[in-house]
Amino acid sequence: MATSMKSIRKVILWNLSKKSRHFSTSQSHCNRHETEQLKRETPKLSGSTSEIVIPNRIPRGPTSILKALASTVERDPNAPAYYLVDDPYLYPTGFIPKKNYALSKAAGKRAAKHIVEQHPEFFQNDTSHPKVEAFMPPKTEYQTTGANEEALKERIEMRRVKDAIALYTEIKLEEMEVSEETLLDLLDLLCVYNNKDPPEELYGEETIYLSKHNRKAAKTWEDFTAAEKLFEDLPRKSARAYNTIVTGMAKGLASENAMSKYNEMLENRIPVDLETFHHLIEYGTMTADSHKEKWSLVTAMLHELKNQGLQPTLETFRCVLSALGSMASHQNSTHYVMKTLAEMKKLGIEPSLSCFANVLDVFYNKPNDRSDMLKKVVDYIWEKKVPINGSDDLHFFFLAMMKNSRTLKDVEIATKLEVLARKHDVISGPVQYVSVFYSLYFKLLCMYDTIEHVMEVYNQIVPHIWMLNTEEYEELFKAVELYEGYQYIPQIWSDMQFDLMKLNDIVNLVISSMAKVKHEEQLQNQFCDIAESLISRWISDQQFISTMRRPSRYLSLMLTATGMGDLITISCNGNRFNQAWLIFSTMKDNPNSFEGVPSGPAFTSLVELCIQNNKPEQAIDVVVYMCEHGLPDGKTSIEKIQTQMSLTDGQK
Amino acid sequence: MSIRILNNYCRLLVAGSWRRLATSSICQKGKDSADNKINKKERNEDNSKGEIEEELKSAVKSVAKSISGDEKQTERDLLQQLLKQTKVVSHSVSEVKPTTTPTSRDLLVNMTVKRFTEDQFENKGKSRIKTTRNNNENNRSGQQSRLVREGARTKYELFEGPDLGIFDPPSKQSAPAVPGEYDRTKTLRHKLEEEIRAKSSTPPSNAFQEMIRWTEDEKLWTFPINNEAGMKEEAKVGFHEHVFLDDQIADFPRKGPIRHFIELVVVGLSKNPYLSVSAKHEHINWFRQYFKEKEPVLRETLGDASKFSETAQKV
Repeated sequence: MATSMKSIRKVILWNLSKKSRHFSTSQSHCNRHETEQLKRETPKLSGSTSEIVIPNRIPRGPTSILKALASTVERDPNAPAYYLVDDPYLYPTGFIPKKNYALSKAAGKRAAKHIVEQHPEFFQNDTSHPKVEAFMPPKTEYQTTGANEEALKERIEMRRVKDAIALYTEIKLEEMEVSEETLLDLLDLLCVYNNKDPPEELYGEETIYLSKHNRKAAKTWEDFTAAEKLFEDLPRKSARAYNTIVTGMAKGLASENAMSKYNEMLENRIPVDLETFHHLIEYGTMTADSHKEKWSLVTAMLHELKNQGLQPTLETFRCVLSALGSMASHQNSTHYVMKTLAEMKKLGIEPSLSCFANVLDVFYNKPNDRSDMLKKVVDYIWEKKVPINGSDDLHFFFLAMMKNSRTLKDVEIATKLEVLARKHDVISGPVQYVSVFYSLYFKLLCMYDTIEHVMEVYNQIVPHIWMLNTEEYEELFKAVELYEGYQYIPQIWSDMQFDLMKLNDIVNLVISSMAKVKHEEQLQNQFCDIAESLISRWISDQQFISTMRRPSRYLSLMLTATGMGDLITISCNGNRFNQAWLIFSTMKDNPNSFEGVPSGPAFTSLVELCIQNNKPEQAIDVVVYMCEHGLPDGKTSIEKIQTQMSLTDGQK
Repeated sequence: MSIRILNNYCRLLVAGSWRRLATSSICQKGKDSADNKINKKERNEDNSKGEIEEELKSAVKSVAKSISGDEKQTERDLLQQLLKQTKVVSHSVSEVKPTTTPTSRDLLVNMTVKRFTEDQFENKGKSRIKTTRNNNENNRSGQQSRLVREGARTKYELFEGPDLGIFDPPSKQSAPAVPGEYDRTKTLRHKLEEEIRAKSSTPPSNAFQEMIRWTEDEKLWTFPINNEAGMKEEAKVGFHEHVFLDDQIADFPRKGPIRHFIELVVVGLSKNPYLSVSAKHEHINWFRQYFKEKEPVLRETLGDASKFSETAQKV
């Protein structure tokens, strides 16, 4: 019976395992995909009896489907950035609302995190399978205490740098034995974080608005502190230790220390890592006194790299170009840059965008450099489809646009840059760079391109990607007047309403553009409507202010006298007598509220309108006003009235 | 006649190596419009060459004739302008490196497109007026910068020319990387740098990217859904260890109520998905301990059926 039981069990086991094998094959999608492919392939090979080539399995990760879906989606030009999307009524359109929304979202996340950290007792009950570590309160307490290696390892695991340093000094005092591995790990930790605790992470929305980009290179590595002391204490200064300390020093911009340690490594024939070389080339060569010496240092390091049997990579050459970028004022740096690029091509390495950014730095170092390298670079990127990694590459686009707008002022280059930036979502980077990028681009377009194209681009960018500022509005209205694109003014006006803070600066631009030419009826009606909205707003503002106790706190609409004159002209062009008269009487009644001096042509046209509408009294009022303010054409207006209208004796 | 005049201008401009103006005038050659003459006049004012030659003087005369107004006055004005320009240029001519006898074709080949390509000249009529306005504006600053950089400028092509000459291109059978003293990718440093790099700095740009980030943070289930997600320990244990627990009761008495009881316990445990294998073994051990302790009591009632065998017999 025992044997039969045994054999039965064996049979059952074997059957079950066979079935599980079958299940596993059918569950793996790839194999099913492969068999389908095979079925599709065999009809093609019907003629030949050649072997069937089974394609290699494509490894799919947990996010492959999502990534494939994400690649099908582009940015919607009519919607704001994803993190600002809510009810369409609540879309932010000015710079300040956008910043507020983004930062408040991040602040909410921070508040939630704060609550979880402060009150972990409320979050202990976790019945989810699998457990989600991210939602649990963070572990703050150490399991092990006391000056021993376990505790040190724990501190390193939790990345508590300051505590680790304190513990290490304790251990040293007690002269305890610590394994070399732990010591090297501790050295790694100290060098990467530069003897300080890891900095607080910013949320994505915050990095857009709060990141501070200091271009000044300042030495952050502290001399003779924990890392260096630890290094000295190491019983055996291994290659790993040397590499870590040199990299840490180079990153902290302590170039002299880094170079001296590097020379020590060379003397003692300790193999240098490729990454260490990268950091040395980029940062360690700052010790050089002159540019020539710096370049010779770089080439020496490259030779050394080759001697140690290492192959350079993209990162190597990026560091070389970065070093050249910092010595851009040297006369031969352009030659060296071209040589480096040729070397990259020889080795079959495609340059990345940060490489090109350094190339541009060198070629356009002086403000009046006019090389054609920018065009070549942009064309290369455009055609070869150099991979663009979202907002990491914003620096290149920003730099390229700046150089373009300084000297070359090429619209084609600028357009290509903008299209690439928008397509690859480069523009969700720090806001100061993005706004300058678009400001330069837009001004260039307004100066050198037709108004139709400008408005096309305008429709895609405004208001969700970027909003115009005063200087860009000035350029835009210049372009409108030059190309006579007055039909766009109502649209621009309605977009301006989104960002009312700037209205006072730009309202005069709008009015003067509208008043320039008399238009056909529909457009002129629109302009008159705008003028009406302005004057009624002004009047209501004044009334509101008079009721307020502190009038200075309310940002009211401010119009100048020339502006009022333009409003009158617009109304006259649209044959709206009542509106024109309203504007005139407002002007007359509030002589001190309008800056500047009124202009003549407005009033002559007003007189004309009065005459047309047969209002002699008003005409006389206007003329009186004109004479008071010493405006020209007063006399001719008087004559006109006298000839064209029948007046009573008193009025004469 | 206008085209001949233009030809003269081109030749003269070439001699003074003001490429941009030369090529813009060459482009203008294609157009025979009234604007032509106005543009010519404007360009005349900005023209500059070594000296005022006879040809230029005659050209100036013909221009003055074609433009309405005081003929003599325009002539005088134009000549004055030219003289002014020559004074500036005569200083710079010594500094400017003379290029090898340039022809207009050479200039077109070498011309760097500053603002408009020739296509754009063709297409945008209005833009022509604009360019001349901006040409003039820029020219004043352009002159000075040109004098500064003229000497240092050489033409570069991307990826061509001499290279550093340090490295050799990788051969197909390159020697395998000499294993160093340690493997850098396994150090803590590498892990830390990966961590720093992985902290993404921008918010997601659409819902799919948000879901990708949540999946990476383990906040969201991976697709296709794996029912055993997160069960790392259980994945190491085969199902047969959960189900086939008969081995564990090999040393229990082979007949009798105890056996019956423990077989039921084993059947129950094999159907239990909530306990780990070790927990199930613990269960059975507990019963083993219990029955072994109670053996004196049980021996009276059960006799043989309470004896545990010493060696575990595999059934």
